[in-house]
Amino acid sequence: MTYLATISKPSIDVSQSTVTSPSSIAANEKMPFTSITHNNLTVSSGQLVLDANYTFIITASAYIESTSTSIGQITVQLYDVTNSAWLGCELEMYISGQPQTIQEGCFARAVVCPTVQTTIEFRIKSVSGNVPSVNNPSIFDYLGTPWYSVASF
Amino acid sequence: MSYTPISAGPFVVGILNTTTSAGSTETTINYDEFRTSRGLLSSTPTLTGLAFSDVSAQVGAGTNAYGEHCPKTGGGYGCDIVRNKGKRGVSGAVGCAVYSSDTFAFRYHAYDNNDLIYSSHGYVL
Repeated sequence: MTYLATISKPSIDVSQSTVTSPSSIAANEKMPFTSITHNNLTVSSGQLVLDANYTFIITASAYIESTSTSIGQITVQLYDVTNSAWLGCELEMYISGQPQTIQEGCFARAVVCPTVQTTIEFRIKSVSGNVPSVNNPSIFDYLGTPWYSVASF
Repeated sequence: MSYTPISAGPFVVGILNTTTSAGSTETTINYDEFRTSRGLLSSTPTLTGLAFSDVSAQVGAGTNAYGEHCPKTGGGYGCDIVRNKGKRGVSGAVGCAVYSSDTFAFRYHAYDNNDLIYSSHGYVL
Protein backbone atom coordinates (compact mmCIF):
# COMPACT_ATOMS: atom_id res chain seq x y z
CA MET A 1 0.00 0.00 0.00
CA THR A 2 1.31 3.43 -0.91
CA TYR A 3 0.21 6.68 0.65
CA LEU A 4 0.67 9.85 -1.35
CA ALA A 5 1.91 12.97 0.34
CA THR A 6 -0.77 15.64 0.38
CA ILE A 7 -1.05 19.14 1.69
CA SER A 8 -4.27 19.35 3.61
CA LYS A 9 -5.80 22.46 5.04
CA PRO A 10 -8.44 22.76 7.70
CA SER A 11 -11.94 23.40 6.44
CA ILE A 12 -12.34 27.14 6.25
CA ASP A 13 -14.76 29.46 4.47
CA VAL A 14 -13.24 32.62 2.98
CA SER A 15 -14.80 35.66 1.29
CA GLN A 16 -13.80 39.16 0.28
CA SER A 17 -15.86 42.20 -0.66
CA THR A 18 -15.75 45.99 -0.42
CA VAL A 19 -16.33 48.78 2.09
CA THR A 20 -18.25 51.89 1.12
CA SER A 21 -18.16 55.51 2.24
CA PRO A 22 -19.43 56.69 5.60
CA SER A 23 -22.06 59.42 5.50
CA SER A 24 -19.53 61.76 7.10
CA ILE A 25 -16.05 61.66 8.56
CA ALA A 26 -16.91 61.70 12.24
CA ALA A 27 -16.47 59.48 15.26
CA ASN A 28 -18.94 56.58 15.48
CA GLU A 29 -19.88 56.79 11.79
CA LYS A 30 -20.23 53.42 10.11
CA MET A 31 -18.22 52.49 7.02
CA PRO A 32 -20.76 50.07 5.50
CA PHE A 33 -19.86 46.58 4.36
CA THR A 34 -21.28 45.57 0.98
CA SER A 35 -22.87 42.18 0.40
CA ILE A 36 -20.79 39.04 0.64
CA THR A 37 -21.38 35.36 0.08
CA HIS A 38 -20.26 33.55 3.18
CA ASN A 39 -21.57 30.77 5.34
CA ASN A 40 -22.66 31.58 8.86
CA LEU A 41 -23.12 35.31 8.42
CA THR A 42 -25.37 37.82 6.69
CA VAL A 43 -24.94 41.48 5.77
CA SER A 44 -27.69 43.79 6.98
CA SER A 45 -27.61 47.60 6.78
CA GLY A 46 -23.88 47.50 6.13
CA GLN A 47 -23.23 45.38 9.21
CA LEU A 48 -22.15 41.76 9.57
CA VAL A 49 -24.50 39.52 11.53
CA LEU A 50 -22.43 36.58 12.74
CA ASP A 51 -23.89 33.24 13.72
CA ALA A 52 -22.96 31.82 17.10
CA ASN A 53 -20.35 29.16 17.73
CA TYR A 54 -18.00 29.86 14.84
CA THR A 55 -14.63 31.60 14.78
CA PHE A 56 -14.40 34.58 12.41
CA ILE A 57 -11.22 36.34 11.31
CA ILE A 58 -12.34 39.71 9.97
CA THR A 59 -9.98 42.10 8.19
CA ALA A 60 -10.94 45.51 6.80
CA SER A 61 -9.20 48.30 4.93
CA ALA A 62 -10.13 51.94 4.35
CA TYR A 63 -8.94 54.97 2.41
CA ILE A 64 -9.91 58.57 2.85
CA GLU A 65 -8.75 61.35 0.58
CA SER A 66 -7.24 64.58 1.73
CA THR A 67 -9.00 67.10 -0.50
CA SER A 68 -7.07 70.17 0.60
CA THR A 69 -4.14 71.15 2.80
CA SER A 70 -5.91 69.62 5.75
CA ILE A 71 -3.82 67.66 8.22
CA GLY A 72 -5.43 65.17 10.52
CA GLN A 73 -5.69 61.65 11.82
CA ILE A 74 -8.48 59.11 11.65
CA THR A 75 -8.73 55.76 13.38
CA VAL A 76 -11.14 53.05 12.28
CA GLN A 77 -11.87 49.78 14.06
CA LEU A 78 -14.24 46.86 14.05
CA TYR A 79 -17.02 47.30 16.57
CA ASP A 80 -19.27 44.81 18.31
CA VAL A 81 -22.67 46.46 18.10
CA THR A 82 -24.39 43.74 20.13
CA ASN A 83 -22.06 44.10 23.11
CA SER A 84 -20.94 47.72 22.60
CA ALA A 85 -17.25 46.88 22.46
CA TRP A 86 -14.31 47.67 20.18
CA LEU A 87 -12.71 44.61 18.65
CA GLY A 88 -9.15 43.71 17.72
CA CYS A 89 -6.69 46.21 16.31
CA GLU A 90 -7.51 49.56 14.75
CA LEU A 91 -6.09 51.13 11.62
CA GLU A 92 -4.81 54.67 11.58
CA MET A 93 -4.80 57.08 8.66
CA TYR A 94 -2.75 60.24 8.68
CA ILE A 95 -3.92 62.94 6.31
CA SER A 96 -0.78 64.70 5.16
CA GLY A 97 -2.09 67.87 3.60
CA GLN A 98 -1.74 66.61 0.04
CA PRO A 99 -4.45 65.01 -2.09
CA GLN A 100 -3.59 61.52 -1.04
CA THR A 101 -4.09 59.19 1.84
CA ILE A 102 -1.26 57.93 3.97
CA GLN A 103 -2.52 54.93 5.78
CA GLU A 104 -0.67 53.43 8.69
CA GLY A 105 -1.61 50.31 10.49
CA CYS A 106 -2.53 48.78 7.14
CA PHE A 107 -5.82 47.27 8.17
CA ALA A 108 -8.15 46.67 11.07
CA ARG A 109 -8.55 43.08 12.13
CA ALA A 110 -10.21 41.01 14.79
CA VAL A 111 -10.89 37.43 15.71
CA VAL A 112 -14.45 36.97 16.93
CA CYS A 113 -15.88 33.84 18.56
CA PRO A 114 -19.50 34.71 19.34
CA THR A 115 -21.60 32.49 21.58
CA VAL A 116 -24.78 34.26 20.48
CA GLN A 117 -25.69 35.92 17.18
CA THR A 118 -23.58 39.07 17.07
CA THR A 119 -23.61 42.19 14.90
CA ILE A 120 -20.30 43.74 13.82
CA GLU A 121 -19.59 46.96 11.98
CA PHE A 122 -16.58 48.92 10.70
CA ARG A 123 -16.69 52.19 12.59
CA ILE A 124 -14.70 55.42 12.73
CA LYS A 125 -13.32 55.52 16.25
CA SER A 126 -11.72 58.93 16.37
CA VAL A 127 -11.03 61.97 14.23
CA SER A 128 -8.49 64.63 15.06
CA GLY A 129 -7.19 67.66 13.26
CA ASN A 130 -8.72 69.07 10.11
CA VAL A 131 -9.92 66.27 7.86
CA PRO A 132 -12.14 66.29 4.78
CA SER A 133 -15.86 66.24 5.27
CA VAL A 134 -16.41 63.29 2.96
CA ASN A 135 -14.24 60.71 1.33
CA ASN A 136 -14.03 60.40 -2.39
CA PRO A 137 -14.55 56.99 -3.97
CA SER A 138 -13.28 58.27 -7.31
CA ILE A 139 -9.72 58.13 -6.05
CA PHE A 140 -9.96 54.46 -5.24
CA ASP A 141 -8.77 53.50 -8.70
CA TYR A 142 -5.25 54.47 -7.83
CA LEU A 143 -5.21 54.51 -4.06
CA GLY A 144 -6.42 50.99 -3.63
CA THR A 145 -9.84 49.61 -2.96
CA PRO A 146 -11.44 49.70 0.47
CA TRP A 147 -12.14 46.05 1.14
CA TYR A 148 -12.94 43.57 3.86
CA SER A 149 -12.54 39.85 4.14
CA VAL A 150 -13.86 37.10 6.36
CA ALA A 151 -12.38 33.72 7.14
CA SER A 152 -14.43 31.44 9.36
CA PHE A 153 -14.26 27.93 10.67
CA MET B 1 4.61 0.68 2.73
CA SER B 2 5.80 4.25 2.44
CA TYR B 3 4.22 7.23 4.04
CA THR B 4 5.42 10.82 3.81
CA PRO B 5 3.23 13.14 5.78
CA ILE B 6 3.28 16.85 5.00
CA SER B 7 1.26 18.89 7.42
CA ALA B 8 1.12 22.32 5.89
CA GLY B 9 -0.60 24.14 8.67
CA PRO B 10 -2.97 27.00 8.01
CA PHE B 11 -0.53 29.24 6.09
CA VAL B 12 1.37 29.26 2.85
CA VAL B 13 3.76 32.22 2.62
CA GLY B 14 5.25 33.73 -0.56
CA ILE B 15 8.45 35.79 -0.45
CA LEU B 16 9.88 38.08 -3.14
CA ASN B 17 13.66 38.47 -2.92
CA THR B 18 14.44 39.81 -6.38
CA THR B 19 13.86 43.45 -7.24
CA THR B 20 11.53 43.81 -10.18
CA SER B 21 9.62 46.63 -11.80
CA ALA B 22 6.10 47.36 -12.94
CA GLY B 23 4.60 50.29 -14.78
CA SER B 24 1.08 51.53 -15.25
CA THR B 25 -0.10 48.26 -16.77
CA GLU B 26 -0.98 45.66 -14.20
CA THR B 27 1.78 43.09 -14.04
CA THR B 28 1.83 39.66 -12.46
CA ILE B 29 4.89 39.22 -10.24
CA ASN B 30 5.92 35.80 -9.04
CA TYR B 31 7.35 35.12 -5.62
CA ASP B 32 10.83 33.63 -5.31
CA GLU B 33 10.11 31.35 -2.36
CA PHE B 34 7.14 29.55 -0.91
CA ARG B 35 7.14 28.29 2.64
CA THR B 36 4.81 26.33 4.82
CA SER B 37 5.27 25.25 8.39
CA ARG B 38 7.32 22.35 7.03
CA GLY B 39 9.76 24.47 5.03
CA LEU B 40 10.28 25.39 1.40
CA LEU B 41 8.01 24.22 -1.38
CA SER B 42 9.85 23.14 -4.50
CA SER B 43 7.47 24.75 -6.96
CA THR B 44 4.87 27.47 -7.25
CA PRO B 45 1.73 26.23 -5.57
CA THR B 46 -1.83 26.50 -6.79
CA LEU B 47 -3.98 27.45 -3.86
CA THR B 48 -7.52 27.92 -2.66
CA GLY B 49 -8.14 30.27 0.24
CA LEU B 50 -7.94 33.87 1.35
CA ALA B 51 -4.82 35.56 -0.01
CA PHE B 52 -3.08 38.73 1.17
CA SER B 53 -0.30 40.77 -0.45
CA ASP B 54 2.09 43.34 0.98
CA VAL B 55 4.66 45.29 -0.99
CA SER B 56 7.55 47.69 -0.47
CA ALA B 57 8.44 49.68 -3.57
CA GLN B 58 10.61 52.54 -4.73
CA VAL B 59 9.35 55.18 -7.15
CA GLY B 60 10.78 55.11 -10.66
CA ALA B 61 9.78 58.49 -12.07
CA GLY B 62 6.80 60.73 -12.45
CA THR B 63 4.93 62.86 -10.01
CA ASN B 64 2.43 60.43 -8.58
CA ALA B 65 4.06 57.96 -6.27
CA TYR B 66 1.24 55.52 -5.99
CA GLY B 67 1.44 51.81 -6.48
CA GLU B 68 -1.43 49.40 -6.20
CA HIS B 69 -1.22 45.68 -5.54
CA CYS B 70 -3.45 42.69 -5.04
CA PRO B 71 -3.06 38.90 -4.95
CA LYS B 72 -5.48 38.59 -7.87
CA THR B 73 -6.90 40.89 -10.51
CA GLY B 74 -10.22 42.30 -9.39
CA GLY B 75 -9.76 41.73 -5.65
CA GLY B 76 -9.35 44.32 -2.92
CA TYR B 77 -6.29 46.40 -3.78
CA GLY B 78 -3.82 47.76 -1.29
CA CYS B 79 -1.93 50.94 -2.05
CA ASP B 80 1.62 51.97 -1.31
CA ILE B 81 2.95 55.50 -1.29
CA VAL B 82 6.27 54.35 -2.58
CA ARG B 83 9.63 55.41 -1.20
CA ASN B 84 11.88 58.29 -2.22
CA LYS B 85 9.17 60.68 -3.24
CA GLY B 86 9.74 64.06 -1.63
CA LYS B 87 8.68 64.31 1.96
CA ARG B 88 5.70 62.07 1.64
CA GLY B 89 5.37 59.38 4.17
CA VAL B 90 6.08 55.76 3.58
CA SER B 91 3.33 53.39 4.36
CA GLY B 92 1.48 50.52 2.90
CA ALA B 93 -1.81 48.80 2.83
CA VAL B 94 -2.50 45.13 2.34
CA GLY B 95 -4.27 43.71 -0.70
CA CYS B 96 -6.70 40.84 -0.38
CA ALA B 97 -8.47 38.38 -2.69
CA VAL B 98 -10.07 34.97 -2.67
CA TYR B 99 -8.07 32.25 -4.42
CA SER B 100 -9.85 29.35 -6.07
CA SER B 101 -7.17 27.08 -7.52
CA ASP B 102 -5.10 30.16 -8.37
CA THR B 103 -1.36 30.40 -8.83
CA PHE B 104 0.20 32.11 -5.82
CA ALA B 105 1.53 35.48 -7.07
CA PHE B 106 0.61 39.14 -6.85
CA ARG B 107 -0.33 41.93 -9.25
CA TYR B 108 1.15 45.41 -9.21
CA HIS B 109 0.77 48.58 -11.19
CA ALA B 110 2.19 52.05 -10.71
CA TYR B 111 0.04 55.10 -11.16
CA ASP B 112 2.24 56.53 -13.90
CA ASN B 113 5.82 55.33 -14.29
CA ASN B 114 7.75 52.25 -13.35
CA ASP B 115 8.18 51.46 -9.68
CA LEU B 116 10.81 49.12 -8.33
CA ILE B 117 9.38 46.43 -6.12
CA TYR B 118 12.14 45.24 -3.86
CA SER B 119 10.20 43.34 -1.26
CA SER B 120 6.92 41.56 -1.02
CA HIS B 121 5.35 39.01 1.23
CA GLY B 122 2.07 37.29 0.72
CA TYR B 123 0.22 34.60 2.58
CA VAL B 124 -2.81 32.43 2.04
CA LEU B 125 -5.17 31.22 4.73
